[in-house]
Amino acid sequence: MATEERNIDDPALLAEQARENVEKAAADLRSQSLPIETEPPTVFTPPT
Amino acid sequence: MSRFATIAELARALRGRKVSAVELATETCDLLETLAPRYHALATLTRERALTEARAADRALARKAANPLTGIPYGAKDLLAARGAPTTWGAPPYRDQVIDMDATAIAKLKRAGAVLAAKLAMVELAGGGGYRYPSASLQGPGLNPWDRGRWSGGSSSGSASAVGAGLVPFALGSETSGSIGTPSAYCGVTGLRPTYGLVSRHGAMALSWTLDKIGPMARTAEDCAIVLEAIAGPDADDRTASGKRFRPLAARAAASAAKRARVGYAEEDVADHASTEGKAALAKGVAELRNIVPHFARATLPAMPFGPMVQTVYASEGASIFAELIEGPRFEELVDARQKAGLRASLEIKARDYLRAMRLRTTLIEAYAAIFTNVDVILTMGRAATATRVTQPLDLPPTAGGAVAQPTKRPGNTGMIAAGNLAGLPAIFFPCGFATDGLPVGLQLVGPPFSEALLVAIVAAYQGETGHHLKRPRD
Repeated sequence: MATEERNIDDPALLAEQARENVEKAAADLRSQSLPIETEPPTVFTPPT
Repeated sequence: MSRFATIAELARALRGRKVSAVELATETCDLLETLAPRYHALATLTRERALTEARAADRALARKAANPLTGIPYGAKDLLAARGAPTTWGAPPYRDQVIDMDATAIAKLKRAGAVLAAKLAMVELAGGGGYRYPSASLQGPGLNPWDRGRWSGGSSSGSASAVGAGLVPFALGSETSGSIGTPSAYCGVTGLRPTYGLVSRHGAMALSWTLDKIGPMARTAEDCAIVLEAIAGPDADDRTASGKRFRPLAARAAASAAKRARVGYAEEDVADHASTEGKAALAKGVAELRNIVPHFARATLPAMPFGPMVQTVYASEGASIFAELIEGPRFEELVDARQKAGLRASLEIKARDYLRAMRLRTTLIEAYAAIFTNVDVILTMGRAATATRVTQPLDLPPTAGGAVAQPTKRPGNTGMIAAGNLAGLPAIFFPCGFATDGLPVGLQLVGPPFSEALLVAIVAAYQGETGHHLKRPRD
């Protein structure tokens, strides 16, 4: 059975792909082992 | 004067009264007005401001109070605010935006005597949503001076094409992840991404507070150093500014440092990942560099998801910065449909994932520190392939030309642009020849934080022995 080809610039398709990208990135990040003591780098400086 | 003269050559001509700053500014504005539209490089011509600054430069020259940038015209990416001109951020919703101040980098260049001739085109919002087409800009697709059927690269599109086409001797660009490096590589210019915090971001559009950097794009490494010396340094208006200054090494120290430098390299970068068209020129460039800097050692980045890390960081920060735009009535005016979808989706990134990406940055910073105990710099390709066709969707495999080799099990340092940005490291991008399709290819050197002087010294030595940076496109 022939499948209907979707326009690659269809906004609904793009929205779906963008959501999938976010989910895929999150899965990649979560799959990395990370020691519990690892803190993020910070640029916060308390006022003097 | 040749329109491809370097800053140093122009400075000599100005000091020797062979040309006045007003003549140079007029010539530059005329060139920009005539030729920049061919490359979609121009956002706004700032002729009136340029002539005012040039007259001041001529007065300084007459008093013999000139420094290396006095009277030198330049362009600035339209992400930087400049008094008296619109600042569009390359995006239709901001087409009429006027930020009535000078970004710190522009104010510092003004104090150094440089002459702002133009605001230059860029990808809308620096491409933070993930655009599909080179046309994702208020000013249209950035066109490459070597072939107008090819893209100039982004997001500092106009900065690279204006320098590459000989319209300005230098330009300011900015990089969140690749926006100085990619257009420099594609257009055959020398671009310097400074260490995070070396150059104030005040007055620049923020896409990512923890990733954004502002840096020079020019004809030579030495010209980049002249500009960086002027724009680096403390700024009370940017709390992320390191307060450090930049000074290039003196000639003898630079030559010695370049010769002694230990270069980290992974041979699979070019062997396994360079495009068919670019491989020979890139391999030759590596061999040429090795003749000048002979101490090569193997160095590779750890296996980490650099793409998802950097994307998660800038998308989260960018979504917070642009939330009102994304949820407001003017959002649909953005050009690129994929970028719009990406920005909307970025609003949904979870805090846990943003913070995980940030914590992984700490691991990466530590990994780089370990690498830099064994080598002084890391060498890899600027880009694996030459400039993409203007009509090519950037997120899909090329249909013709510029084909990149299939990924192998040896990633080498192909993730260097994302990884280097995540770690806040400086990098210099420089041309090393031409691919078989006639387009420039280049290399990049990455060093530890605040190692710009060594990066410049090595590339200056390379450019002193080779002539790739002297090749010029035809109009």
